[in-house]
Amino acid sequence: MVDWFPSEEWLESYRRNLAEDDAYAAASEGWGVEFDGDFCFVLTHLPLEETTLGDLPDALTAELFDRIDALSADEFDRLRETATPAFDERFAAVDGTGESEGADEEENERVRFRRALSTVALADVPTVVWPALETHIRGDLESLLAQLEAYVVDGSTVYAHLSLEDGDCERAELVADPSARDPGFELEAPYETWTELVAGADVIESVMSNEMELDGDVTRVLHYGDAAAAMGDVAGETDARYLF
Amino acid sequence: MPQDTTQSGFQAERIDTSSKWYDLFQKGVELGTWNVEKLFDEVGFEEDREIWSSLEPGEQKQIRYLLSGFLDGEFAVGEDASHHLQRIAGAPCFDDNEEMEMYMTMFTLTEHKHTQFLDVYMHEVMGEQDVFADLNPKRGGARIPIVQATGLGEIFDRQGQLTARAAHSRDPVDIAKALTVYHMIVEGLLARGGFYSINKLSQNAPLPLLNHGFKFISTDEGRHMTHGVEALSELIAKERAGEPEFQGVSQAIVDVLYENVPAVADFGYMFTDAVDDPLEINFNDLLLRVGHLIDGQFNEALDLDMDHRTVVGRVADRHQECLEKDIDDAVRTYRDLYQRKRGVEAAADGGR
Repeated sequence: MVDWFPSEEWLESYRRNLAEDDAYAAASEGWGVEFDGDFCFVLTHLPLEETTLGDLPDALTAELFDRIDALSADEFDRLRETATPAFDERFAAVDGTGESEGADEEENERVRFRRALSTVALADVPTVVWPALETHIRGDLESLLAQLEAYVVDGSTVYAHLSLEDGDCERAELVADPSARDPGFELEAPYETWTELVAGADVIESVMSNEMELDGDVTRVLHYGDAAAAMGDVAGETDARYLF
Repeated sequence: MPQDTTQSGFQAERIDTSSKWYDLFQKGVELGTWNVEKLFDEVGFEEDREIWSSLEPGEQKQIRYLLSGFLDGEFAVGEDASHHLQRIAGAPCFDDNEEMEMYMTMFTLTEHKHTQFLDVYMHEVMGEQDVFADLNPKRGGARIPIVQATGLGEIFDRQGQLTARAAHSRDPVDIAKALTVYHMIVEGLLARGGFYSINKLSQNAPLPLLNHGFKFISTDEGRHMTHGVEALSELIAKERAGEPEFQGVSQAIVDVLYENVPAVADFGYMFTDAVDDPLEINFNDLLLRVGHLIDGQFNEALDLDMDHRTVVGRVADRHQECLEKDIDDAVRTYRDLYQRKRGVEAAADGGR
């Protein structure tokens, strides 16, 4: 799977890169020894209300739309008949312009179906999508939608927990119930700010400029400033394709 | 020829009433003339004395340390404003800015009032401080032991050196260095970090007169900061316009930041084992607050490109020194030193 950001897969790539980074290993020697050095990355303001399935990169959604196009007329009818009321509302509301005059009714309905599906906000996917449609959602899109459903807290926030000790990062995972954890440090910022970090922005500057909020023993971070900087640098070096 | 009008509609001929320094001067006249003694009369000392006497020794020590830094700091900035900043404001690089010189009179007045407020307040509320007034810097003596024992005394010394040199040379780069240590470091980081601490400690030690005074002081300092940023911005603009004598201004500002920023770690002495943090000011919050101020002042307000990692590294090194130093022992050393000095002077003075 491509390392979509944010995702479990990107987080695992980041963990692996961090564990293999010599600069981080040298700078973080002793970090987390005799104190809780775990970090929680908090990504707020994920644009799930604003982003629709149609807004996602084509590489994610193309297969789904191809599958719908490839359905036989009967298969498409069955899919259409089992749709949720929430989808029917969208289908009824969708603009019919652009339908081909020469095309038959079934073909035009399929165009409207795709169009209606494209208008579904990611936040609404769990209530709009139905089992028959889910069977056509596969690959990266299936995985990412499942992660959004499992790990998004309060509608737009994702928590990632990193276990950091003595120069190593043993685990990095998304957390469904952040209240069950109490890591020593927390770094919080809106999704947009995280994308800037992943694109190479300086984490120290982001904290100093109040774009990212650091919670925890600041004096410890101060003394491990090179380690903190290396964590940011590794994020910038980890390949990512952005979901939003 | 009449100059532009003020918001009040007034025009003038000798002075430019549309100048930002004229505006600061007028604001100083309106807001900076709070009367310290009148404030003492109106609010009174009684409630502060009662609260002070109810505090634990550790809590008193934490407040005393913070206010000692302010007292010596305000004394230092008042002295340097009187002696040096007024002359700097008249330097050719500011184009005979009459309004800036007008503002500096107000500026200097407020700095001395801050000293007045703190000195009287500490004496009247906290009792005999023995701040070694007879040995204070103006008389060639020493600072309060806790200030001298930390790095704060070094910063005030550095401020004195740089402002004196700039007042003498009136060179734009020297002036940039002087204004940086004065306005951006001492006023911008140390004093504002101190305001943050005073504000937070008031939740556990609500000293009404102290809080009242500090509201006035921080408002005054806000205007001082505006002046500092405007003056430095003017020097930077001339440097960027290619004027030869201004070349090196930006680098000088950043260099002075790197040289002096470790002093923010000296706040740590008010939060280490020596005093703990009985009033829950929280050193972590204070450090982050100062970090945000550094970015806001140097990168945003002055549009410079300072390196945050260098700043963090230098503050960390200084903080490590703070952790390794026995501050109580250092304070005792300075106290003993001062007492010996008094003894020598007393003998020369006929046994005072």
